[in-house]
Amino acid sequence: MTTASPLLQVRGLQVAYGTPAAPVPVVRGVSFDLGREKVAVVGESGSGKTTVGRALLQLLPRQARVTADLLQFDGIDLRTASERDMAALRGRRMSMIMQDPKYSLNPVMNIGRQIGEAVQRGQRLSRAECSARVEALLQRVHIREPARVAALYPHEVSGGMGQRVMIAMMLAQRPQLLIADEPTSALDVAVREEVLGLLDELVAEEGLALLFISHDLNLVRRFCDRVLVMYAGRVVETLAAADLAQARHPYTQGLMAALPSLRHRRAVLPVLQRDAAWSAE
Amino acid sequence: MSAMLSVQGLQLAFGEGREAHTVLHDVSFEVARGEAFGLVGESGSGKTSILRCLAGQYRHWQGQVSIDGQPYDGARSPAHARRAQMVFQDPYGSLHPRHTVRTALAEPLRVQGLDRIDERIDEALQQVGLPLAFRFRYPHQISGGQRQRVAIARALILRPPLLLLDEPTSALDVSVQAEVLNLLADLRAQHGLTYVLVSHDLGVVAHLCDRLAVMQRGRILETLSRDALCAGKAAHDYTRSLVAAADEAA
Repeated sequence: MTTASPLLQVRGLQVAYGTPAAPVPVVRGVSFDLGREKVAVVGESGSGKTTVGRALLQLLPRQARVTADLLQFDGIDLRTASERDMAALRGRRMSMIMQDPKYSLNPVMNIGRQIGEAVQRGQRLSRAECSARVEALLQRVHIREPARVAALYPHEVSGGMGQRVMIAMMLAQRPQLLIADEPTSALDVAVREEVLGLLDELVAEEGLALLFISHDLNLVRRFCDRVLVMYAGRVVETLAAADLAQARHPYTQGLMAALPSLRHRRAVLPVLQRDAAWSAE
Repeated sequence: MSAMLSVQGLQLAFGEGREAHTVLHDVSFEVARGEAFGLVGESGSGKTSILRCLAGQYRHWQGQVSIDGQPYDGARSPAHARRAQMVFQDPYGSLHPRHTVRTALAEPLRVQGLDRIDERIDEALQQVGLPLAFRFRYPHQISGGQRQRVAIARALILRPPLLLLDEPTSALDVSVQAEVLNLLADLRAQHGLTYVLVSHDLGVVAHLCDRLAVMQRGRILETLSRDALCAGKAAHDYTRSLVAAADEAA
């Protein structure tokens, strides 16, 4: 691994659907670097933030056309990586967790076996070794009774516990990059804090690079290091999370102003006035 | 003047005998005419269950409820539909995919045997700021925010004094949320409506509501005014933790 270049480098990422003659672009030239840090991608629905995350893992449907000037993960050129190369990277070195664990977990397999599958990938362990490793992983994500939880099925656990199970499954391998797509949007405030605390700990202790896709500006401001603001398939502004209140781009300013706040009550919330120039630049 | 909504000792359970699981324990609150009242709490705390009891979706509750001075027994009747209407969280799920906006808005009018259907639909669309041509659209032909406007128009078309709002902006982007919140505030001011708003977002509740109740495990922990909430005068630790989580914006 080269020490100078960041773990993930993205330059001029484009994703389009439709035919080559009549393309429908959804991501239009996105560039960023990601090191061992927490970087957020924010924007409204349809801005292309999820598509960026999925394009990195090549999880988009076949009809999506993905091009980039540079798409490099730890020195590997993802543009030319074969499906076999990607299969070796996905899950092992680059991982993804999604919004709702209810849809990501297999409903007819207990949690221990699902994590066990991830553990057995790439190494053969005896049954006892495997279940010991599963319990260690569940403990790692702060589940108090790992043996009991391993025997449960996904419908028997809460949303917050399901999300921790997803994180445990991801940790079964030793990924360097985690793409988290709205990982806490389906969770209550208290549970959300636990999951965020866990992600924070993993970034600090395991040296994970985290790409955090979210629509929640308040959360991102508090949790992440840097923020990419997307509008209509482009990054319109990149800034330190702490500087969100001093955003320069009118779109980011508009989003911040539209948030109802406990401290500053306003009779009428300012409504975002969209400018055609934002998507044309 | 009597309260628009009075709820006393509301109790709701599912299952029977030893299997019975009580989801609302002795819930009581009153909402004055023209007031906006918020219900906050985590999922499973019972806030939506309260709305469902009031809307007639659950009938097996116990307690005394009166709406607009009339005792309410849980039945869904044309008279109840004219007193209280509900707006749901998900505008994708609450509109029939094969009904045009006009069909959706005409249905309650037809059930009530009202006349001037097209005129009333025009009025309702104008109220929520949608172009009149939208009446011919299907739900998939309009955006999420526009759908929620249609859902609000449908709730208002019978001119009920009480609106039950269940997370009306949670499925919307912040920019669209601001538009819908402004619309709800305007409609309340213009027509003197009374709201009961359920939301997990304290910012939304504080923006729209004069008073709120904080719920946990089927009980109301405390009822307080918005000003007390914003001034950090909540009595319960749980409420203070909600405020702390929402206050990062400041």
